[in-house]
Amino acid sequence: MNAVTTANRRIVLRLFVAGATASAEKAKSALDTICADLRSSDITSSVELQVVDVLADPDTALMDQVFATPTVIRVSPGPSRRLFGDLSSPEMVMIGLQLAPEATLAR
Amino acid sequence: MGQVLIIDDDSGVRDTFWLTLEACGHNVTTAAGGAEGLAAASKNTPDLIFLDLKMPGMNGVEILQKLQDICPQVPVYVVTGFYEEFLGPLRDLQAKGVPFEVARKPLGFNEIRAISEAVLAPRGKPISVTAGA
Repeated sequence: MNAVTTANRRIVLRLFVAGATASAEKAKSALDTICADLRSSDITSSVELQVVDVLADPDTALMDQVFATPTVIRVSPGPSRRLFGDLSSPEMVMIGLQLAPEATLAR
Repeated sequence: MGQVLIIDDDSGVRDTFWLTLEACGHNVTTAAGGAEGLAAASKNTPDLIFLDLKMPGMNGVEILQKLQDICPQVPVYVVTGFYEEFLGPLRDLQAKGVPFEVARKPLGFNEIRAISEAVLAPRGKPISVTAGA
């Protein structure tokens, strides 16, 4: 897997949802878990999760070329990666966004 | 394989959905308006609904509210332009607890396929997509 080396890099994740649906809440929960894990593993300088409600902020969704909700984009580090659909599994989302601790890469 | 209902007044859009989803192995029912769409949903509960927001007569918001009464467990993708004038009415529905997802019009083959795959053939993992899919 060509995962991103995240040491000393700022990680920015942007989640697009349509209000407070069940899928949105599950996605937020999974991404909160991912962000907490990344912070506690001390492998990156900072982790930021941005949540965009497309119903309230459609312009950002348009600029980021989001086609449907829920979608999460790894904005930084580049190149960007994006996932759509079932975002409820922290492990699957982490794999899909190619976020991996250096310890994992070193194995 | 799933049952998909398309509610859209544009025949070209209905054809695009039909061709794409049938090619993916799904059974597709199309409706040109709200009354026809609600009748179809009542007759045969779909597994997924794509609903156009702006239609003559009964608009998408009204149809969505009625679909909640007919088939509340069916996922609905409201297909619309991502513009304030279209999304404002949807916020009111959200506030009332009516669940739905949104998809940006126009949807292409890959985007329709991604949505149908996510809903009808879930694999417990997200789908990797590109910008604009």
